[in-house]
Amino acid sequence: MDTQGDGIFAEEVVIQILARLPVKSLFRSKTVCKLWYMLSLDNYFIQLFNELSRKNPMILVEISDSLHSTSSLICVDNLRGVSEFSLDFLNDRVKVRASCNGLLCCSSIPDKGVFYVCNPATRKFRLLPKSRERPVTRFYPDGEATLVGLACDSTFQKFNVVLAGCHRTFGHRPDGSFICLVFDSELNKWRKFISFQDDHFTHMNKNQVIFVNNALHWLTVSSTYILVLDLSCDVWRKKPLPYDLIYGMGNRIYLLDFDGCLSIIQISEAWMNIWVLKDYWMDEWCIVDKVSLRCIRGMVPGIFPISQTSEYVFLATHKQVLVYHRKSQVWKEMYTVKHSSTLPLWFSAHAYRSTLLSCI
Amino acid sequence: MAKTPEPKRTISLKPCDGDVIEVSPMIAKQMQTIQSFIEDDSFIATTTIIPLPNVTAFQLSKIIDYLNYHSNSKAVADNVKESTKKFDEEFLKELEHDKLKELLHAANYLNVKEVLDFLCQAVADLIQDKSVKFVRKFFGVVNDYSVEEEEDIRRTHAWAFEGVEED
Repeated sequence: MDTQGDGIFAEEVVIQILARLPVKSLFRSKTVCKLWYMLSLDNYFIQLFNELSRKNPMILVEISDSLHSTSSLICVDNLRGVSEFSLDFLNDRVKVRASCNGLLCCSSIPDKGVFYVCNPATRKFRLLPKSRERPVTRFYPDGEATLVGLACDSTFQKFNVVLAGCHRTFGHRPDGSFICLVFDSELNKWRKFISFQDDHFTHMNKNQVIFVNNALHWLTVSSTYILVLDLSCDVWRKKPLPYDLIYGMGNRIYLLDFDGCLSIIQISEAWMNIWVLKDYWMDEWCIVDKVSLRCIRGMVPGIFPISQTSEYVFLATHKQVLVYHRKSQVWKEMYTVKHSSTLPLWFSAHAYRSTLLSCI
Repeated sequence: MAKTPEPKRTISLKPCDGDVIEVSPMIAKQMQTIQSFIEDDSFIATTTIIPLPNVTAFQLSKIIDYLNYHSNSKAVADNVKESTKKFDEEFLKELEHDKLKELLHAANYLNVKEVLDFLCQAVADLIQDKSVKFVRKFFGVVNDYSVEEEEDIRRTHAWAFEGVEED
C-alpha cells in the first residue's frame, strides 16, 4: 500500500470522501495539498459530486418580515438542518426566480430586466446581458415575464434561461402572441420566438418549473395538461396528465421532479398521491405512492409540496416547512417561522441541492 | 463460470490474524474481490479457503456485521429507518480514528460498495468541520504548497474559511 507523501488512502478513496463533503469544506480541502486541489477540479470528481448531491435534497425559502420590510433566505437541509442562506455575493437585492440542479436564476429587484445566474455553493455568478428587446416592447401585464425558467444539464456545462409571457407593444393591448426569450450561456446571447397561445398560470404554477429531457415544464391554471418548452427546437408542446388523475372537487395538483423524472402530486382532503412519468416519450404515468394525510389533518388545506426525491417530500405551509419520509411514513417539522411574516412560506420556496455546476 | 446456487453452502474466508470465518454466498457476493475468486473456475466452495492477507479478523467481522444488518433490514419491514440509523451510529462509535481508517482500507481491498460508501460518508462527516492541519494528519498527506501558494488559495476562497476554528 502506498504510504508516501500522497497519503494513506488510494486516490479513488480520497475522491469518494471529498465528494461527500459540503461545498464549503471541499473548498477548504483544496489547501491540503496539490493533489487534492487537482482532484477537486477533475471532471470525473465534479460529476460524482453532483450525482451524490441528489441524495441530499434541500429547499430554499424566502422569509419576509413585514415589520421591517426585509426578507432573507433560509436553506432547509434534510441532513444538516436549517441554516441562513446568503446571496450577498451578488451585491444586489434579488429575488430567486428559478432553481435547477444547484444553479439559481435571480432577478434584480431595483433594476427591472436584470438577471443573474449563480451557484450559491461556489459563490460564482454570471450577470446576463440585457435582451435588446426590452425597452420597446413589454410583457403583459406589468412588464415582467410571466414565466422564468432555468435549464442546466449536469453533463454539459451550459445553461439556458427562459423568459416567456403574453406580450404587448407599447401603447397597445395584448394581441394573443406569446413571446419567448431564451438565453444561451455558450453564445452569451438571447434568442426570441413568438407563438400564439393562451395559457394562464397561478403563482405556484410559475414557481414549479421542471427541467427534464432538455425541456422545461409548467402546469397551467386549467390543469388539463403540462406545458412543455422543448429547448432543442424552441417549440411549445402539451403533455397529457395521468389518465386517472382527478382534478377539481377539492383536489389540487403540483408539478415536481422525482429523481430526474416529471412527477405530479395531487393533494385531496385525506390523501397525497404521487405520480411519476416513467416513460417520457410514451407518456406512461405510474402512481408510486398514496400517502394518508390523517396525521396532519388540520394543515391539509395549506400544504404545498415543494421538492421530493424517492425518499422524501418537502412541503411548505404558511409558517412551516415539513418533511415526509416515505419509507418510515414519518412527518417531521423542519422549520417554523417565528415572527408574523407577510407572505406564506410556500409563496417563494424552491427545490435546491448543492452542486459544483459552473455558471460562468 | 461455475454457478451452483445451493442455499446451505458457505464461503470460507481466512483473515491474516485469525481463524477461518464462514459467510453466506449472499454476503460474499457483495465483496467484489471475493466474488472474482468465486467466479474463477478452479474455485470449489466446499474445500477452498480464500486467504485475505490485507484484512484482520476484526475488520472482516465488522464488515460482515454491517452487511448482515443492512441486508436483513432491507428484507424486513420498511419501518426501520430509525433503528438503522442507531445501528450505524453504534457501529461508528466503536471505531477510533485509526480503526476507522484501517476498516476503510479493508473495505476498499475487498471492494464492498455499500460499506465503502458508508465509511467514506463517515470520514467526510468527521473531517468536514476540522482544520486543514487535522485533515493532513488524518490522511497522512504532506503539504507540498509553498507558504505563498497556500496563502494564495486561501485568499481566493476566503469565504470557505469564515467561521472555522483553526488549531
